[in-house]
Amino acid sequence: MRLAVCLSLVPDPATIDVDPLTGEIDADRTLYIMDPADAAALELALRLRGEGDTVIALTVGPAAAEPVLREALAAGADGALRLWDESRSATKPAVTSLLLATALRNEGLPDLVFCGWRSLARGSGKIPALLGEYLDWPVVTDIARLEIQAARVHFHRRLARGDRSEGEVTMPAVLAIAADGVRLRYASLPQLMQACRTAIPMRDLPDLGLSPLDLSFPASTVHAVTPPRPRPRTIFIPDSSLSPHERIGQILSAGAAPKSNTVLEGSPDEVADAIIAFLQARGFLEQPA
Amino acid sequence: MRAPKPTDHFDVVVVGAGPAGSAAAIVAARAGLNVLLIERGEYPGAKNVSGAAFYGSAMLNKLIPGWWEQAPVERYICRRDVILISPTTAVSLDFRSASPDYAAPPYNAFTILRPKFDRWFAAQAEAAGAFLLTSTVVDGVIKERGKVVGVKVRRDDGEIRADLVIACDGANSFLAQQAGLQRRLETHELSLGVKEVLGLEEAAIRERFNLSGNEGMVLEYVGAITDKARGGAFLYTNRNSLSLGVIAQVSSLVETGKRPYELLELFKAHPAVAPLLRGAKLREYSAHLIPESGWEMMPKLVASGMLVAGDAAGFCLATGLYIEGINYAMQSGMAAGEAAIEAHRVRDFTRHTLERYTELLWPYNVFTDFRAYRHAPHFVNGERLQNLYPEMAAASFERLFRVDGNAKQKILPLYLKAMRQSGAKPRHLIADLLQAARSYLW
Amino acid sequence: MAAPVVVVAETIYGGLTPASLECVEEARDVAESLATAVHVILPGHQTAALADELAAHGADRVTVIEHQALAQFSADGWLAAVAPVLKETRAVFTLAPDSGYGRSWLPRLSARWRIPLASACIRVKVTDEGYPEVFRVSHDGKLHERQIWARGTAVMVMLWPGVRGVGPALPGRPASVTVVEPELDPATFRDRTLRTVPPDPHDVDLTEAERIVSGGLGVGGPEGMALLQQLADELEAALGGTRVVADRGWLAADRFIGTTGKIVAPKLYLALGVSGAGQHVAGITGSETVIAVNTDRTAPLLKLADLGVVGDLHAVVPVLIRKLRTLRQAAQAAPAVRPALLDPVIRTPVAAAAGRPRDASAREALP
Ligand SMILES: Cc1cc2nc3c(=O)[nH]c(=O)nc-3n(C[C@H](O)[C@H](O)[C@H](O)COP(=O)(O)OP(=O)(O)OC[C@H]3O[C@@H](n4cnc5c(N)ncnc54)[C@H](O)[C@@H]3O)c2cc1C
Ligand SMILES: Cc1cc2nc3c(=O)[nH]c(=O)nc-3n(C[C@H](O)[C@H](O)[C@H](O)COP(=O)(O)OP(=O)(O)OC[C@H]3O[C@@H](n4cnc5c(N)ncnc54)[C@H](O)[C@@H]3O)c2cc1C
Ligand SMILES: Nc1ncnc2c1ncn2[C@@H]1O[C@H](COP(=O)(O)O)[C@@H](O)[C@H]1O
Repeated sequence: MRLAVCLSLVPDPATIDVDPLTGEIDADRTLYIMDPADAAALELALRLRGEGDTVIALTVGPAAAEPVLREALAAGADGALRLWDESRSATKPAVTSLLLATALRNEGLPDLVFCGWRSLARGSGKIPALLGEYLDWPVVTDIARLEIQAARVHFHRRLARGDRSEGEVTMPAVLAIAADGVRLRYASLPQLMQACRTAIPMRDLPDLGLSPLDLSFPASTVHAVTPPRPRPRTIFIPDSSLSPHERIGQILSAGAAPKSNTVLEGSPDEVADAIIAFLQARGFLEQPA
Repeated sequence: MRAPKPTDHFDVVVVGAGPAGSAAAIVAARAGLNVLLIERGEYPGAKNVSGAAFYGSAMLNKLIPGWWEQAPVERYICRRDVILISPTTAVSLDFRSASPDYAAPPYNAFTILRPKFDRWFAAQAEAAGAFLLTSTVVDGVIKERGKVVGVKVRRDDGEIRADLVIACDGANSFLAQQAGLQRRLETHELSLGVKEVLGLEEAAIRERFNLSGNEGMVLEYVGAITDKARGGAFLYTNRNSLSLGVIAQVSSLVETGKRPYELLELFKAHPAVAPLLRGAKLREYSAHLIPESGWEMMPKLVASGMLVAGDAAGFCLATGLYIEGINYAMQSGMAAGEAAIEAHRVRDFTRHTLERYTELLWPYNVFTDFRAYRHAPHFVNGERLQNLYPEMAAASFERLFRVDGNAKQKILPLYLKAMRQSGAKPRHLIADLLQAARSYLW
Repeated sequence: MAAPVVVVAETIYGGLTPASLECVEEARDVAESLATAVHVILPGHQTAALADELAAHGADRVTVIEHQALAQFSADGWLAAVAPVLKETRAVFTLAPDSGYGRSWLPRLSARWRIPLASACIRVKVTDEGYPEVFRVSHDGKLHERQIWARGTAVMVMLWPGVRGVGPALPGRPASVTVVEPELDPATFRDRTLRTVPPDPHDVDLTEAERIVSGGLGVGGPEGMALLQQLADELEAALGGTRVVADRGWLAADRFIGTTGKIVAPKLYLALGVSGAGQHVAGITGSETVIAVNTDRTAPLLKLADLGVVGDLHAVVPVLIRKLRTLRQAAQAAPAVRPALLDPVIRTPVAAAAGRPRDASAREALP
């Protein structure tokens, strides 16, 4: 089996320092790392690799993105390939996916392509599906766990709020991994030194047989980048314990109204009852019939 | 980055890419030695307590001419305050210089942020040809027949062989202890520094500290900040942030049961400090050990196949007026690099040849300064200087400046009264003055 | 009628997902500013009854796509079923939740039709000058971006769940409902979902947990945390805590909450023996309901909580667990009130599901 993993080098959010006025990231302080979701994808691919299987790591990025591939090689990837169009300083998801799809075709299509579910950079989360579209393969996103059964992949998928679903997909396929607890293995010293020495091959547009025209997609403009400002939340069903007047006030203020704060004291029995009554009033427990 | 030779045998392995390690690597690699620089952090500086005053500009200028033009520096220091504080008052000595020694190249000192600066400095070592390996912890030295022949790193198959190991792994060096050069330090020989970097707009910094352009200032505090624990506090201005922290002797933290973070909170809430911090936003928080006893706790610096430099060798000067460690780390690192070159030339890495390192530490002014200030750490951590005198000074100024309709008093009676009230004894005062003079004047 | 604002809604356990209702309400706001209608597309099996709820949150038109093969999600199925309906709407805006499902099919249509698609959006609007505009989060929430397109550009938007929140329903709001029954061959679906399972509070990521029971230093030790685990089990909540509790090893290191840990936004946050230090509270401000139990009446968290209880957790929690147990047993005796959690499994013959060759050049043209 041939496995390909798409990796991106992203700023570690913990080191991102945003200037509150300009919204600019202080580049000197930022640590660039292999995207954690991608690292989990790579680790799963390495775990899946059996006798005679190969894992190839790809990234779209300038020479500065090479460390992500070296890290993959150090962890045990069999090969690495960097793709880039020297005429740009950044790529859109559509361009990234098209470069990846083209390179995969040129190098001989693998059986599975692994991605992260969403990168920590601009994080479109679209690349896996776009890659599926350009390869004309099925796509499964947000995979928490997977298992190969004959020519198909059985997967557990993460849904919102902790729900999960189980399903299966035929091979070849694009798999977007969201496996929180999975960490990339720690490279051995010889592998690490070896990876630092390896020259990493690069393909540009002519190598891939693409023309700049192939990469023109509808324009969208990023007009401003700002530090986050929370959006006021719409509130769900006003507190039923309030008077109608107060409830309307609560709706009008879109949840910005101060919360009602009750502090009580009593015997363990009394306060336990009070907590239960409160949970019932808020719909966390069923009301007694 | 130059790929290491396939043998994985290096002329020199430097452990720790702090100021000491990178300086050693630069010097050795420039002479063509095959140098491996190993750092446990994701990048050099990642693990270092951020925000510092760097007092070695002229010295570094010799290694990298015009370094401040390419390095990430924050502000050049032209103002320094030393402040004695009691819980409600502060008495400060304000120094400001517009002389070219301070305000023109190569400047006297800069504020820097270590994560940026250390990364830049290690990149200079890479540019000189050293090979930098990050995210890799050195677990110990490999010894054969009493000689250090390499290091073991915390990775599978993690043995690296080298003619010479230079330990630059910072305070309380595990490597120096393991090689039998250093004993475990006592708690009174170590201080703990806790530090925060707070983001603040440039305009606010200039206005609050009365600075213009790239001028910067450092403030050092002595007195009640540390709430009976022995130590001091500092506040430095960076470009658009402030570095501040509290340094307290580990033994006194144990005695008083104070948690370091509490001390920092106390300091930040002090009426003389809080207004300077208004609106500033926490960016990072860290804690680190500092070897503080200088001359008296210097370990053996040389073993067969190994040298120790920087904080690992105790080259951190904490005189109470300021901490200087980065410059001595660099100076000792450079001396170690030179010693490596000389040993490499004669292909002898035994202790006898390497002893040359200790000789080189004199022209690099490391030994000279540490000997000169050898009494200072002890003096600074004395009980009276820590708690009594700041209170006395505060009380007498407080009385001197208070206009409450009562008859004014002259300064000396005021002092004597403050002294009586605080329980200070004249003979202690005289003894302490003498000791201060011995520590700082001659 | 002007081109509508279209929402593609999702269901789980036979009901609409909150994220879908957020999309409908966001679409309502956009549609109002354009004086146009909200058209919701609802693929699924036996979901027509949900049209009323969609209307109550702002839908003017609902197209239910009904097929047994849509009972469980399949990206191929959704593409086959939704694309023709969506294309016909000629939507100015297409909104869908930024969910794992949405992300597996909507980007493909955006590429096929060359329509821009913005993901991780937290707000959609039309500027006063008439330009489509979205705000999206990037860099793990560290930055917000404003993105804008030429006037009249049709735009697809995936809305980040849980940011807008769901407003009150207006029952009785009318909507025209159409049910279409496309011809679908599930054997051609290369991916499919077999079943959907509810969260396991023991391993759900805290950032996704609906309910969290959280312990502070007041729990006194590992036994205290074990007691809280029992309470959490009783409430079907996940267990979390403060950093100091994790630092002492009483709680897994990836389960502490606060600025340096997880930022959580549960519906219920029940904190026991937690003082409410700034670094901790900053991680729980998204919680809808907060209950705190603390022996110290001056503890900051008691003032922040919707319900604060002054008391010893070691006395209160065992009583609470006992009472909850009694309640649960009483409820179990009574007929079940909750919807059945497991959806039926589609049992398509395995052999028929093999990959279907498709001609890549036969992509649909621009709408
Ligand atoms: C709170 C505080 C404030 C200070 N302020 C100042 C100041 O304003 N001015 C000043 O001049 N000095 C200051 N100092 C002192 C100064 O930080 C040190 O003297 C200086 O950093 C010493 O440099 P070094 O290279 O010897 O060690 P370090 O800077 O500590 O570097 C050691 C490096 O080795 C790495 N390392 C350690 N162990 C291993 C291992 N086993 N394997 C691999 N890598 C390892 C570490 O990650 C680190 O990068 C301050 C110190 C503290 C704690
Ligand atoms: C840089 C930095 C980052 C930090 N980041 C985080 C973070 O991300 N998350 C975090 O949680 N903390 C963080 N902290 C630590 C934080 O400041 C607090 O120390 C911590 O949140 C306090 O935890 P606590 O409430 O469990 O403990 P305490 O503050 O000690 O509170 C224990 C509470 O339990 C009550 N209590 C005691 N016994 C009982 C009983 N029998 N019944 C009921 N109540 C009882 C007490 O009255 C007290 O209010 C950070 C600190 C620093 C310096
Ligand atoms: N520049 C890139 N090079 C290779 N793969 C990428 C790149 N950017 C993103 N990816 C892959 O696409 C996934 C989703 O990224 P995104 O669409 O940016 O959120 C990532 O987790 C990676 O697997």
